[in-house]
Amino acid sequence: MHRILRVKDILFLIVLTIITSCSTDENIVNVYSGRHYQTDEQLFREFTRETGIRVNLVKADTDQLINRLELEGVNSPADMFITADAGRMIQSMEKGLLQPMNAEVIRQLVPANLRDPNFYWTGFTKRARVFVYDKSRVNPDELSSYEELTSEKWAGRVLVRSSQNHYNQTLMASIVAAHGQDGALDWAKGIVHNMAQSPRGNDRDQVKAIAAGVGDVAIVNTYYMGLLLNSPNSEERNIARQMGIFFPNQNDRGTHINISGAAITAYAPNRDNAQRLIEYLLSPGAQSVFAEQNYEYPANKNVAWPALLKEWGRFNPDTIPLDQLGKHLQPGMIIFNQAGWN
Amino acid sequence: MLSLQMHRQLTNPWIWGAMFAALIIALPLLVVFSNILIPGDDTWMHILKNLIPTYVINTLILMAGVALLTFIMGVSTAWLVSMYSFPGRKFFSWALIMPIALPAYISGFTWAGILDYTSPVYVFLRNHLGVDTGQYLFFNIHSIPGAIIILSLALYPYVFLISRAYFSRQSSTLFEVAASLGKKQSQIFFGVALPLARPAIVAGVSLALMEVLNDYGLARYFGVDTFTTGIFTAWFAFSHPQSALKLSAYLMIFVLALIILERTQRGKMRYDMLGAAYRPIKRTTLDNPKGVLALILCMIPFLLGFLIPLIMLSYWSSLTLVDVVDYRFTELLFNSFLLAAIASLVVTAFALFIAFTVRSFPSRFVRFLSRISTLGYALPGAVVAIGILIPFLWIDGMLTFFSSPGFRIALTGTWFALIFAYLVRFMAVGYNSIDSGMERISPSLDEASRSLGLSNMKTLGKINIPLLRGALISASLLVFIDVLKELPLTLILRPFNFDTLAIRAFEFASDERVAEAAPAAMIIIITGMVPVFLLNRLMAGKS
Repeated sequence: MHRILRVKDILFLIVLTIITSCSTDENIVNVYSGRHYQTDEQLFREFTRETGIRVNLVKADTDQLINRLELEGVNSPADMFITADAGRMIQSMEKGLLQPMNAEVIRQLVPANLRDPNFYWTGFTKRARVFVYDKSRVNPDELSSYEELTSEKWAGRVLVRSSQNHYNQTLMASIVAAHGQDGALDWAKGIVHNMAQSPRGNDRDQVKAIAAGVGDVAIVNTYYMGLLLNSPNSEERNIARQMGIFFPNQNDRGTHINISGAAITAYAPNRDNAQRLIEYLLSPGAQSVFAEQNYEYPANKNVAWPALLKEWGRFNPDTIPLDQLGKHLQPGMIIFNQAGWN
Repeated sequence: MLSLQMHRQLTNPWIWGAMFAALIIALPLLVVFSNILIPGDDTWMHILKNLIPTYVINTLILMAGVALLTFIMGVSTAWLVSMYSFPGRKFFSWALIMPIALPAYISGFTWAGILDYTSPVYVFLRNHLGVDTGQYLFFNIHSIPGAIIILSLALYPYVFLISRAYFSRQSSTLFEVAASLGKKQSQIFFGVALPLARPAIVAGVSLALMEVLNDYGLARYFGVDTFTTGIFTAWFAFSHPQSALKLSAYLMIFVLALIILERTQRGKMRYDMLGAAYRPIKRTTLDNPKGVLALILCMIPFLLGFLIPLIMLSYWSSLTLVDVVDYRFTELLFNSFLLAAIASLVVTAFALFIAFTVRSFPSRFVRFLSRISTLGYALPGAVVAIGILIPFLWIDGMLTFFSSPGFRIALTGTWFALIFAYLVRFMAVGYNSIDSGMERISPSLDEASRSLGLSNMKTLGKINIPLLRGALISASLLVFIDVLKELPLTLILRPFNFDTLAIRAFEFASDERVAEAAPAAMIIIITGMVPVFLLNRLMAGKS
């Protein structure tokens, strides 16, 4: 008798755990996000306060989320997908995981090169992949473009992280778009030839390696320089202040930029709420939060930059529409391998 | 005869139950494995030709290095604390387990932080003493040797814990006999103790190696290309999950082959204590030069694997505590602790049930299935997650029948799914500890119990469980801490708005904000210390 009761209890608990995942709540939006910043969660809370729409969030690795969306198919609970890489966004669109948004508001706020022409996704912040150099050892006049970094004068002086990194992969896609696959292979070989050390560590580590005298110039995301300048470790702040930031390719196609993008998923049960959340993220208030607290450039062209971004200076971003980079990602990856850029 | 045996097997509820349980646990792994049948395309060929050869070599070097180091550190310290009395022995008998509470990738980040250009030590040397040692202090940790050292420091406790559970239950009779035959201490260790402890050592080292195989975070951060980074290159960089699963399938074959090889090589050797009257070990007191040496030997892995990283983490925490720790931390702690506790109970129970059945009712099929069901530990968590998502989503598809718009029933994204995932992932941890513990119990004890008319259930309860005490404690402890640290599975399978400490630490660390990751990492370690401490008291009390 006693034992039967226990089995019942266990069954009850199991059922209860299953039921807890039932969603009967009408006013929600379910978000799969590859970003994991406190700014995002802060803005989601603010959005809930303003609209009464509850934001349910799963944060995981972008590629895992794409895979999960694919596996879930029609039954996916997700309404909205967020990722910090244009290449991944394009891939998920090509896999049929997204649906077009209502273009009305987005068209007015976001420049055409930062969004999909058919409004399957839109960027909401952008980051530039720039050169960071030691002010005492490098004269910024010597620097010019990603391509020029392969010239012999930089031999043994260039620092860059592994090709496993999304930002490098999308940068490579932009190089392929500009020079074709053969040109991109030459470029990659040139960079590998000029590397001060084999790729290791993250973007911060590249900057530290400059400080340690391993190399003179590093390819780094602006966002990480923002983090270093505001690091809790005073020595990291000191190092960041010794460094200059240079926006490459200002005389031709412009500096490579990447976006954090948002999209509505193909089978979104709460489509309208997702649309509202995306428009909220593009609103001036939210855009300022990203810019001030996360050192990202606003995608909304009407929003003013905070002091730090202004200090780094205005720059011309690469004008190639980001949606055209998708097809170059995979060839770019093979080029990395062929050039021995691990 | 055969048919009689088969008949017996087919009507035995234990065999049925174990078969069913092992099959359910193995199912996600079989899903992954089935990808081996999918023909390879151009991407697959590219990966196979250009990447895999170096990746395989790196992985083998890494495995050899970690096997050697964890063996040396784990067995020597376990032997010292079980056999001898020396200053600090009592402390080390539990403190040496602690490094396991530090996730390997956090340990990697921390050591990189200690040795890199902006570490407090380095800053002091540079700014106050004018020493300039270049980019790294001592040596470049972003390398294969660096990865071997960090992984070994994080993983030797598996070997230590299982060997210690073994040594401390070993009968002193054997050693006394050896000593009376004029053998020296070293000869007793290498000639008697080591060969006898083989099942325990193999169990521990193979857990460590499986962890090496599933590691992605540390290898990636250190820039060491291993087979597992290859799996993720295939998946993430080439966005080709099929190739990733296919590579994982080959990884499973490799691990299974290793397990079978070790078993066959062991042959018909038995490790139980039949014939040797059990007498608890009386620890020899080590006199002073030797006692201090033992102390130093135990100190090294503890300092490098635990105390020094902990000091660095506390320093970082002191910088970031105010900004990072918020009201949600109690919730994170609660989630982490509860998940780990439930999972450790579930895994230990299933492992005990299956291991006992395999022992009591020899059935090749169940034995094989049980081996398959432990392979989840060797695969990267993200791959296991795919194997779990596929059947769960299939069930969810069936459940939509009961749903209506605005009302969904689903298994995916529930605690249930998460606990099941941990069962698949950590079965090896429970099973290896318990199985090696059972090797030491003579089967004749079970037979005696049955011939006295006790049921299988009572035999398990009255004979095996009390004798397995140490092994059960190590099993549940290891699973508890493993779940506390677990990342990739939790990340993708968790319910909406659900966070754990490991996730919080990872989010900062992956964003290159190590100092901000420190408070969560500290709490993981402290939470991990609680059961280590409690269970150790429990074990000490009864043994």
